[in-house]
Amino acid sequence: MKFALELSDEFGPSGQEERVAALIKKELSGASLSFVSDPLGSLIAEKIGRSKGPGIILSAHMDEVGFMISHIHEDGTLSFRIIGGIDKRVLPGKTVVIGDGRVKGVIMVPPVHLSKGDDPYEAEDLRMFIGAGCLEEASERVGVGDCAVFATKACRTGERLMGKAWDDRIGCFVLTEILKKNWDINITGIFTVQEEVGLRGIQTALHHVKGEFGFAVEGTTSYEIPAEPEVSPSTWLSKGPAITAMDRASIGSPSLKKLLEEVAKKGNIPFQYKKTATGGTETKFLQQNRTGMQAICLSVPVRYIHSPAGICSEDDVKNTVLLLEKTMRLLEAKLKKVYGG
Amino acid sequence: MEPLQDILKKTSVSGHEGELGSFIMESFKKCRLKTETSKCGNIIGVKKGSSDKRKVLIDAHYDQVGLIVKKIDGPFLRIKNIGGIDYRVLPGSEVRVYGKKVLRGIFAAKPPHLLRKGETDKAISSDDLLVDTGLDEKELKDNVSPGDIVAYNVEPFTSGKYTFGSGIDNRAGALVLLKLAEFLRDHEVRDTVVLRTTVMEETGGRGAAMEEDFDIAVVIDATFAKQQGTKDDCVFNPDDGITLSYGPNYSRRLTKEIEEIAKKHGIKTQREVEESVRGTNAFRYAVLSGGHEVIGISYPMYNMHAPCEAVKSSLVDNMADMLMHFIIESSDAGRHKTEGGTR
Repeated sequence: MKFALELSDEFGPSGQEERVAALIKKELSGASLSFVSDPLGSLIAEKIGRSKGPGIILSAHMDEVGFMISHIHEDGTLSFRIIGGIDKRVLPGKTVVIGDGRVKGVIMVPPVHLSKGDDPYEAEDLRMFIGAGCLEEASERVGVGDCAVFATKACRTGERLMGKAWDDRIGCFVLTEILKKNWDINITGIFTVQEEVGLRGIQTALHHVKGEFGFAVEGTTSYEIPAEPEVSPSTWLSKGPAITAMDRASIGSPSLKKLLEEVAKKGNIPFQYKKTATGGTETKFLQQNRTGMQAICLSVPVRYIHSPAGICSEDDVKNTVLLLEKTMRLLEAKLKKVYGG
Repeated sequence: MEPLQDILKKTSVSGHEGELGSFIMESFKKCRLKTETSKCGNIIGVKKGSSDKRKVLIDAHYDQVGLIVKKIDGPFLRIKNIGGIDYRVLPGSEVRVYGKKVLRGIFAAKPPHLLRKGETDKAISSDDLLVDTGLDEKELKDNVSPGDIVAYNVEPFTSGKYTFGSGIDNRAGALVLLKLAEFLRDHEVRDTVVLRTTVMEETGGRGAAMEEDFDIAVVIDATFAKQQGTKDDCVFNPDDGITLSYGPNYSRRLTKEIEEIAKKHGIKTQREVEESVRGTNAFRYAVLSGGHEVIGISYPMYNMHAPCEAVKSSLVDNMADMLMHFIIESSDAGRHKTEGGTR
């Protein structure tokens, strides 16, 4: 799991995922894969099997929510825009890391003694402070257009993992585990860019690959706090991988859903259904690729995604890998019958 | 490692200052000061002067604002604040929970995907502010109890000319006293100097309310830097230097003296007007026992009482320098003293 923690800590807001891609490539360097990067930056890792036909495509997105510096003020503070979806109410007082220079800073908040009212702070009124006393000092270290992410450092706590970017570095981790195994059919892992700004990376990356079945692997919403039983949980932690029957952008392949359920029941692997249909996943584009493909989303439940720190369960991660592999083995046998090998 | 960062790593939530207190005690001892811990936890280091005419007390409170576990609710902790905290900074903030073992936790924050229309227009209600340690209910109950202390968890760092971390207010002040302790280790002085790091300022200046024998007091604390969302008349630009307080709590005579001494040595100061007698340690010392002349000096800092505060690192050094010069050069004349006498 050490690699999962490293993945979460890496800097990779939407549009700037190169470091995450490099980390994944390094981790998979001994796994007999061929790598291609598409022009947007998605990393395509292919394992060529003996079986000649189309195989299975897996996708997970490398990007995380973050910020872009929009203005440097005379006093050296920085205005910023949000990349992806972040509730403005989690911003005040959080530490951030900015740009290629990894400049550290904090999202400022007025002292409690002087602040008035209790309305949430608007994101456009908030500024980052990087220890620069004026425009010139700040400009030496950061520039307009630089991206930033939360500065959270990942760790274990009990059986759980805490980190800033489980959506969707935990999916990336699951993919690397699957790609390290031996397969007789073609397995393509797509590590996509720019998912958080509208499922963009998956659309271009799919032009470069072919497959018969697809799985999107996500870190998905979980919110179990007691005050809101009607929306929580979307999923539960430690109750196994979540199968998505439907999300905002797709309906999961019924045959793959059935297969996952059967494999889980037979292998005594815990699983659950994601109970909300909010948020779109890459399943949409996997299904609509070329002449179409059966695809579904399998998710690791994560509490507090899109906030400075999320929490997921190590057991859920292991069971996601297990359920995915066992299901893929059945599909592998099926594809070998059709295409040989 | 920068000394301030070292101090900021320790926890000293009001009423629970022990972790930092023992560090301060060790540091005072290493500087061969006569040390004492008061019943409430103030750590005192004394350097005897060559004259017994005047005892100068230099105070910095070393507690920080924090949180406390109120109740365990399933796998979550309900919390309350110790000292003044704007609850709007809590969602998504990291904490350390001091149970049987130290646990990391975060304040729950609903993912945007599940927010209802208009929900973000209201601050998150304190009912929804729960700390999640990642432990399940049983493990959590085995390790944490109501009354356990919770502290912000921010790894201190330096960026630009500033040091960042939690509880800089007023652990940066405690560092000034540690620097003075080193000075007193190496120098003989005329006035007896009492370095007093005090507890529970954030809950009403209570550590400073304890009796102590001294003639004049210098109180070191944090003040507000000018930042977005503050009004100009009560905030200060850190580049303009240390603030010297003027108002009913403070001795105009002594404040002017230290202002002159700073100027002579090229240390920048600015005036801070404190018209109210708010509940700081300066107020306590002014009226403690028979009353005292008090000097208030502060470093303007950003994000006071939020999880990550920031202070211009050089201000801490400047303060220590200014006080060293004051100890050496200040006249020992006391307005309210009898000829040649001590109290």
